[in-house]
Amino acid sequence: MADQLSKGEEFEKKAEKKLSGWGLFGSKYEDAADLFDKAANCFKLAKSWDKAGATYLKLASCHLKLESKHEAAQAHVDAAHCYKKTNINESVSCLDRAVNLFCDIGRLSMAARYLKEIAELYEGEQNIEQALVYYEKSADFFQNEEVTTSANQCKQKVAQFAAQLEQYQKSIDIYEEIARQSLNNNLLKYGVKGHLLNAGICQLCKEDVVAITNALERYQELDPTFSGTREYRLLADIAAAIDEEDVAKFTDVVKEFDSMTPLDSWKTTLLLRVKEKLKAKELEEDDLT
Amino acid sequence: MRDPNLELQESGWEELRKEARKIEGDLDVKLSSYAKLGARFTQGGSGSGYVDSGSPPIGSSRSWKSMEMEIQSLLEKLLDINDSMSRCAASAGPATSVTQKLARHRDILHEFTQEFRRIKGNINSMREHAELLSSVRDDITDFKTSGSMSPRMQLLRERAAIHGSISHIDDVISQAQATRAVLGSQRTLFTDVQGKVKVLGDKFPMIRSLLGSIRRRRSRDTLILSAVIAACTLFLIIYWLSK
Repeated sequence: MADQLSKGEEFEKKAEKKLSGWGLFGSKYEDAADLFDKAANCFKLAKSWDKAGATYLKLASCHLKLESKHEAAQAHVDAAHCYKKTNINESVSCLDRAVNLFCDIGRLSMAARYLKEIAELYEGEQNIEQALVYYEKSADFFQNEEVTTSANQCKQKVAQFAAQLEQYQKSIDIYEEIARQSLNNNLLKYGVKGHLLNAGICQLCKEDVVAITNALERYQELDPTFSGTREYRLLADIAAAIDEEDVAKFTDVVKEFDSMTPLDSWKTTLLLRVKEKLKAKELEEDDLT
Repeated sequence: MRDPNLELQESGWEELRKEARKIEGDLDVKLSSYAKLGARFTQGGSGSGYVDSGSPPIGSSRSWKSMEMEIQSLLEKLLDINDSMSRCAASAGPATSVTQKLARHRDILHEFTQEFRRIKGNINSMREHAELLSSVRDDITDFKTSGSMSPRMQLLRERAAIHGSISHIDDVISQAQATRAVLGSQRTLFTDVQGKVKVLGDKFPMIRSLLGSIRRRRSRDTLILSAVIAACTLFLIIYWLSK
């Protein structure tokens, strides 16, 4: 550890000296890049993540001066991986620069992959707005490169976060689109009722009974087997409870469904919102009476 | 004579480190209590009987909230102390053991933060779940639920389990499809590389002779340049001597 740290600092000093010197034969940037790479490696072995990240950024500057954008982008990615352990904001900015460089040289697949990585970092930090933005960008890039599976994964994340941020229409559109695509795939069509259930729950959050009824009819047309499932029964019964403004019926329906299939935290959160609105409406009715 | 400033910094560092270790111990104890509280909240939420389910959620909710705020303030205090230790270490000059200890304290803080966030998320999920399913007619619902262990219910439960398996299979299929797409593009890339390498191999003798020519030309250029420099230097020396 100690000797690795001192060795890294020694390499860094050599590289800085070479940069400040006047290169007569050969390129000083190439030599400095080699030395910076060695220094960063030593810092990583010494677990000095901040120093390693800073050194990788210097390496990226050298590669940019050499007009090697791919190597510069890769250096930014390495810097981001080092900063991930100590400084999330710095890590995100490094990945952002790497994405810009990959876009410049036309490597959209790698740009999409690192956009997804940025989104995952924000998700870990529980910054849902930024995670949503970057997942959306990532899905667009994957779609441009015709990598449909990864694009759909990112889109599902977008839909999940959009619903948490109360952008229900966007969430509904995404889930319905994914359900439509899954119907054409023999392997994935058995999971369609899950997507339609998610879309239906988002419809319930919009508190529009007519829209819910129309949506349920549309889902039956999409997937004829959906009308026989318990997911459809749950959505229809909840719609009826909302129409009648009956909180007790709502609770009974959800409890019965939950006794069979435990609801995950996302569905629980959204259904709780529906219930709170229903309670508020019922209280208004009582006050009027 | 020793530097009084250095002694002051050393004592400050030791005091900060002692305080950091004390807070870390407190955090460890409180996180364990927090996790146990979460488990008890789960049991309380799913408890049977109208009377028993009345008071525990409210009481545990209140203590849960106060404990959460307590842990939050301890984490912020520990973060401040780590920053102070960073400044002490920076001003005290490079010392490897100090850097290692500082990195270890930072790792501990990160680990505690992650654990606190995870437990908090779990407790929030459980609380929302309990709130969603609770009602003023819990007793009637309990009665209804207890009397419904019929074959139809068991079949429905079985079908729900099958649906869960289908969801997991969907995830695996998505990963497999993504991997297949990546491998396909990789194969295309390798095919291109193979073609290029074959073309390169065909032209390898030409390239070798080309490289030889380049090397000879470079060597010749170097010799010419050296000769010209030497001649000019010699001429300058002669001119200077004859002036």
